[in-house]
Amino acid sequence: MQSVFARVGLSLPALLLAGLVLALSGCGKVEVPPASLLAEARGDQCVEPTDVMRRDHMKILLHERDEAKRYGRRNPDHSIVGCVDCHVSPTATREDPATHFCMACHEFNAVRMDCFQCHTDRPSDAAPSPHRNVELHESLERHLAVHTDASTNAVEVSIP
Amino acid sequence: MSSDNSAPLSRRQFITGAAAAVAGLTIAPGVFLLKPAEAAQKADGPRWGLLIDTSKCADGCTACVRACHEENGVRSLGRPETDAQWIRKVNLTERATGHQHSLPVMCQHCEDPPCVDVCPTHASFIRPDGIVLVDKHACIGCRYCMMACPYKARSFIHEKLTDQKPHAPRGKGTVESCTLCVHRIDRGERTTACVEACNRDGHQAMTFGDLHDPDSEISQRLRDYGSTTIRADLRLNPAVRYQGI
Repeated sequence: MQSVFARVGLSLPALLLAGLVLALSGCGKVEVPPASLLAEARGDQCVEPTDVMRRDHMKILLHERDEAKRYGRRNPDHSIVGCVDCHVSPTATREDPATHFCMACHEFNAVRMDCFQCHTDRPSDAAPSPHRNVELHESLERHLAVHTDASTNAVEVSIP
Repeated sequence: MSSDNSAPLSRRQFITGAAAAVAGLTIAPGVFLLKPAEAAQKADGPRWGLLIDTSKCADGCTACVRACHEENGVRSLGRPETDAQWIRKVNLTERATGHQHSLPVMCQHCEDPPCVDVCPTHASFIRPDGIVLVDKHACIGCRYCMMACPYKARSFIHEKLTDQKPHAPRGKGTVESCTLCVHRIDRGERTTACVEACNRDGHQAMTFGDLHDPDSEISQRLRDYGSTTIRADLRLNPAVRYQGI
C-alpha cells in the first residue's frame, strides 16, 4: 500500500507539470492573425467597451436581431455586418480561421455555431464601415510599414 | 339617482356604452361585430407594392431578373433544376388570338400569405409594412411554404454557398424568395433593384411605391387605370399588381 501512495505522491507533481506543459502548448498553437491583417481591419473604437463585447456580443446580436428582421428597426452599431466591416480584413476567409477575427476566437473557444455559413465573412467593398476611422487606419498602416520587420512579421510597439 | 342627462353612468351603462363604441355594430345583446385591431393597425403605416405594366414589358428582356440576382448575390450553380429564382420572366400566349406577352413574377407579398399560414416554425412572416420574408434563423427547410405558394415564388437552397452579399444572408437548407429589396427600404431608399433596372433600360414597366399613400405614384396609377392580380380568385390581396393581363 505504502509503495502505491509513494508512487502517487511522486507522480502527482509530474502530472501537474505535464498538464501545464500541455496547456501552454495548447495556447502556443493558437495562431494570432498576422499583424498586417488585423491592422487592416481595425476600426478606432468598438461600439461597446471591449470587456462587454467579449462577454456579451452574442447577446447584443441576438437581442436586436428580431427587431431588425421582423420590424426593420435596424441598428448598424449592433449588426453582424457592422462587426465584419470593422474587424475583418478584406482578404480574410472563414476557411482560414487564423486570418479571420471572428473565426479565430470561435475556433479557439470551440464555438460550433458558424454565423458565416449564411452571413458574409468579409467586409462589403461597396460601403466602408461608418466606424472605421480612415485617418487612424492610414497612419497605422504607415507606422506598420516603417516598423514591421518583414522577416519575422513582428511589430515594434512603443507604449507612451 | 336623478334621471337628467348629466347623471353619472352606472357601471353597467358604462360598460355597455364603451362596448358599443368599440363594436361599431351590435348584432344581438352581447354579440358584437368587431373590426380586427390588426387590420386597423396595418392601415396606419405604409404597405410597399409593385405595379407591373405588361404592355411595356419587353419580350425577351431579363434586365429585372439579372438586376435582382446581382443585387442579392443569387448565382446559378449550373444546375437549373435547383438554382434559386427570386424573380422570373413568364411568357403568356392567349389561345384564342395568339397574342403573346411577357411579365416578371416574383413573391407577390400577399396580405394573407399562405406561406405564413403553413409555416410550422413561424419562420415565414409578414412585416407590418406588408413585406413577406423568411426568418432563416427559424427556417427548418421543410418547404411547406413552397407547396403552399400559388405563385411558385420560393426557392430552396440545396447547396453550400459562399460570397453572400452583406445585406442578403443566404444558406443551405433554408427557403428564400424576393424580399422586395427590404435592405433598400430600411435604408430609406424608395426603389428596388428590378424597378431600377427596368427604368434604366427605358421600359418603365415597373413602379414601386406605398399602396397606403393615396398620393403616391403607384396609388394614383392604380386608381386611374385599374389593375389585376394573378390568381385573384384566391383573395390573397397581393401587393404586386399587374396591368394588361
